[in-house]
Amino acid sequence: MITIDSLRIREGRRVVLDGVTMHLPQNAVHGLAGEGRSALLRAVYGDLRPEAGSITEAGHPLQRREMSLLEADPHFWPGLTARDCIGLIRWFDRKVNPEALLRRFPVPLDQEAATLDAEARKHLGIILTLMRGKRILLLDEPFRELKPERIFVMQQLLLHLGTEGRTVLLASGRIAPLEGVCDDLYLLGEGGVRARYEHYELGRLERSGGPDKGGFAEN
Amino acid sequence: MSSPRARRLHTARWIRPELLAGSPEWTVGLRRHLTAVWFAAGGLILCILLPGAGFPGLYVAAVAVGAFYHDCEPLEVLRLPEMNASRLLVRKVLTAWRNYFLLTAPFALLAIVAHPRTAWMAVAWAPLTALALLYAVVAKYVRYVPENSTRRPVAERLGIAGFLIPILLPLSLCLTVSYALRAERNLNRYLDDYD
Repeated sequence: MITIDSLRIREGRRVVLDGVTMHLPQNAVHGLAGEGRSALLRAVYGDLRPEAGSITEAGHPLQRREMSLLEADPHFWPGLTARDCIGLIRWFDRKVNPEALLRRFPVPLDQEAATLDAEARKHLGIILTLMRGKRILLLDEPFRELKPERIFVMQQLLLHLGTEGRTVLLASGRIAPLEGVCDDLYLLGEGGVRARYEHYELGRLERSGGPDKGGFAEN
Repeated sequence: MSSPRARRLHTARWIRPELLAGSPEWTVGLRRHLTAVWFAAGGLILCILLPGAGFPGLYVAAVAVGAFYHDCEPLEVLRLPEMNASRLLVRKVLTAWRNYFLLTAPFALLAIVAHPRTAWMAVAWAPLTALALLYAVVAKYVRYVPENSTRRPVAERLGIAGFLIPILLPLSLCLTVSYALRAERNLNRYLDDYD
């Protein structure tokens, strides 16, 4: 169980989240929507230091080596090709094999990763995040920039990840792709958790247009 | 699926992180400066033909390789080895030595075979080169900020000059020690999570 307890995150002078408390069971796909979702993912990953509160698993601080983060807009070091990026990960972990992921998310391997278009960069980001085989996956906007057929592939993959013992935290600005994928959805807003929905409530939430009648606020 | 800027990059398949001990700096450096590397190889062969110029040429090449360590990589690339700051620094230095000495070994052998009387120069070349590469690595991580590629500070440039101008060498050696200590502290900010 990942426990987020009374978390307060400040970005500059603005308090993005305050008093956020969540209990996230393992081996499940948890959705995050609303304002502050990206900041929450970065705090879980350890890139944002919370002003107050804690993020723990079974009473111990979460270790970054257990996690992998997919950024909303993946960017890469200019000069590395997509093949280099994959090669670097394989150098440090010889067991990983990206072949299956490359079939699902095709990428031009011999082009500079930093100059790929948004969709190809997203594909490469997904491959690099998932191929490392981390136990906890933090996915920021995994469906953004994907074509409809790839969204379906991503949904199938997420379902598979949830059943193979990974814990997935998934931030999305749209509810539609989350339906049938997430075990629960936390709606953030006004600095805290506004609501929590079970998986069977997501369809109704989507049909009603979401709490804000038209999706959620960005980040 | 890419912008025209991609054409400027050398996409030679033989430049692979696997062959360069997983060094992103050397992979990016060779891809960006491949033409310069070929010219340098040609220049080194010319130096080797001249008595006593082979090892100084190789040494200058080592100082030039410091350019590979100018730009700062993204955090994700820095964290890939999942090591703490001191272990990562040691690994980076060993990788720089490995790549440089492996790539220049044929030239060094050629220089010894062509002019056996200058073989003693190798005794000075190896440690000075190792120091120059150590300096390049630690100087980078003193000023490391993810994805930053600002100009080098004046002190750092003087330190590089010290490896080419003997009178400044003591300054370079002092800076190497200072940077090694400060680099670890700086990296701890980003790698505190790793044992």
